[in-house]
Amino acid sequence: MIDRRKFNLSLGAGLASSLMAGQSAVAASYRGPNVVLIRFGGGVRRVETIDPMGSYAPYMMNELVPRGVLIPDMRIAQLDDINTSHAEGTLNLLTGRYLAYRDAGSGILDDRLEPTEPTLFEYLRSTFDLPSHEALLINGEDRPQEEFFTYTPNGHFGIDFRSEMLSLHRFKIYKLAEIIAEGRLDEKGMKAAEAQYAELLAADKRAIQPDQSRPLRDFWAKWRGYYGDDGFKNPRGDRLLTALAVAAMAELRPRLMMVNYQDPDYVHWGNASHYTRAISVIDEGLARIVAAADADEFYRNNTVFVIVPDCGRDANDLMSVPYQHHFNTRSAHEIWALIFGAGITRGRVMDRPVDQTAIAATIAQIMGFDADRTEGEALSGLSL
Amino acid sequence: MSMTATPDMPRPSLILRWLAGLWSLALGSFLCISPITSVLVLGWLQGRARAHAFEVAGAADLRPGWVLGARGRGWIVRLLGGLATNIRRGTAALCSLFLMTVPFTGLWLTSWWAGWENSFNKGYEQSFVGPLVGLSGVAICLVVLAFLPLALAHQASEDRAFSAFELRRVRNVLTHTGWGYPVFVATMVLAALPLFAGRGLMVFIEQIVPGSAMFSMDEKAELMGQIAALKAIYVFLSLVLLRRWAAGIYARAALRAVAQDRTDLWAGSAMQELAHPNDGSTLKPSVALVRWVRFTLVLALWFGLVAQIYVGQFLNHDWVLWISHPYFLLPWAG
Repeated sequence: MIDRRKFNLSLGAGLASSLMAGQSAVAASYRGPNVVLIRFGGGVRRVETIDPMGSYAPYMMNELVPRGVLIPDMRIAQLDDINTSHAEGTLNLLTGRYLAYRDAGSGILDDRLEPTEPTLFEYLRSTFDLPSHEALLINGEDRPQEEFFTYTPNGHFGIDFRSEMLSLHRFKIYKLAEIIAEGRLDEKGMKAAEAQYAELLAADKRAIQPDQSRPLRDFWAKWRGYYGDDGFKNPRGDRLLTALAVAAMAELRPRLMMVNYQDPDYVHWGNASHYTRAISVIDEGLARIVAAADADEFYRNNTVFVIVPDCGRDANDLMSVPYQHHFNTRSAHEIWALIFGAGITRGRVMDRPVDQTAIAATIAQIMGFDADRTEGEALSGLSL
Repeated sequence: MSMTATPDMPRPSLILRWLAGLWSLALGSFLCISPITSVLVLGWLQGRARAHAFEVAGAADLRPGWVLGARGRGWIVRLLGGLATNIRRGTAALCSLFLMTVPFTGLWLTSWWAGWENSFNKGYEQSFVGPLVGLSGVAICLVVLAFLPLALAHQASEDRAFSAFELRRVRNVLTHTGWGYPVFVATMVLAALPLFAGRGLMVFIEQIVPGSAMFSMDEKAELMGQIAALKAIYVFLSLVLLRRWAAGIYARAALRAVAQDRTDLWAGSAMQELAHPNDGSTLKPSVALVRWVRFTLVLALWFGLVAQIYVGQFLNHDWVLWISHPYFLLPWAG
């Protein structure tokens, strides 16, 4: 039997928690499997990734494919106004819908989208009592326009159900705020820091810019202590995303984490080896993240990995570098997915076409929440 | 078959001239498909530029033939003299053009490769190197291109290897060009737009040729051949017109320069031999300010070509095309 003092204390704590988090007081704690969603971006073809003869991802092909279900014929639908690109593909994955985004102040060579439908993070956090740092997006430094997919600004769930973001952009915001607060720089240095800080904040064009939560600030404090302020000591490119993901798994314990790899997109600039080397770097990243999960009781046997590209790339033999992707070619719509982990059938190849919007619905099903505005249907035949 | 006509021969009939023109169009376009054979076209264009410059100066010169040479100088010359001349002139022009353009094309190629290689590896410490080298190449390019059409016409007129590097004479010609030269440059930059569009065409081929994504290798090769043929025709035709135009500008400016030459700068040159005593005597040279405005305008106009090259490389990258453009190296439709 609960006494009056304990009742008042728990009620007060619950109310405070609800007010602080903006969540329903009845949200249950999450007890399902963790999900790590890995965007094998920015844009890859099947032939260099899942084709046994052409793959530059040997770890994925030899170690991970036997552990789960490979979907070799996933497609992005051929619809009017579809752009086979990174932000769009990422939002297809996060919302489970096509064209569920709108322009959020794009400039020249700076496309800026924001979701118009709820993301997986919002569905998850509205259903379960999860703090924001357990729903994590990890983003690279070359695509700052993807920094702001942490919640849907208009309607639906909104900022109270956002995810947190780990990226160099966020680290710099943290670092500069700390540097300014510490006040150790001379006047010129302070002015430069304040200007840089203002510039970083101005990059977020949303009406409400959420602060980073306490656990995130603690995470960055450790990161700063380890790598320092100059940015020359931490891993770079997609290796940075791997390092952030592994560190986050150890420190923040995310239940749903999306890692937005991106470097294969360097092939835009003409060097085909950047594309294949970047695929190999992601493959090495997969090895590190999976090894970290396998070595950690919190994640071992309790995590589902979903690996899927944001978009494909062209297969245009008429060009010396046939790997662009903006032009709505058939090959740019052709992607794939690999799902493995807790409760997932091992060594199966799904021999039917699957739509990219199925990913969000499938993750919702795995994690046990209702993503009622997704267009895709959850995949059947994944379970043991 | 020869296109050669000597001044003392009767002028061919209109039909024959049309047939000869069609033959030149077909053969020249065909030769523009390969970089090796395009050297012949370059030599032939140099011969035509020389003929036109001489024509402007009031003299006559042999129009170049593709294969046959002049009559009356032995059967070997008659049979292969035109071909040999085209190879000689083409090779000489290629050497000059390469030496003139490699300072900037080499920088472009290096900066693009090294800059993006560094960027891929997130070499923040050296991130300035790629842009700095590339922009240096752009600056050098604009200055070189400002002189290049006149230098090439000068070499055609002199018919001497490396005479394009007679910089004092070329600069002297440039100062005597009028506003027609910026108009010529603007036209050349605009004329390059279809070549730029041709690079974009490859990118959108699935939208332009429905079903091409499913083509067999043979069908793709056939499509590529058709596109290459169209590009070659355009390259050849546009260069025939543009090089003739440049030769005319060169000849008129050179004649003015010769007429006002007080320093024997033009002594022994083809234009001096062709010039008449009264050429240009009534023309006042432009004041320095006007010349600088014109020169700056020419630089700005050439930037249009640079922009086409950079955007074209973003759309459809090809390492070789940093070095070669039909309008400043080989007339190759690659």
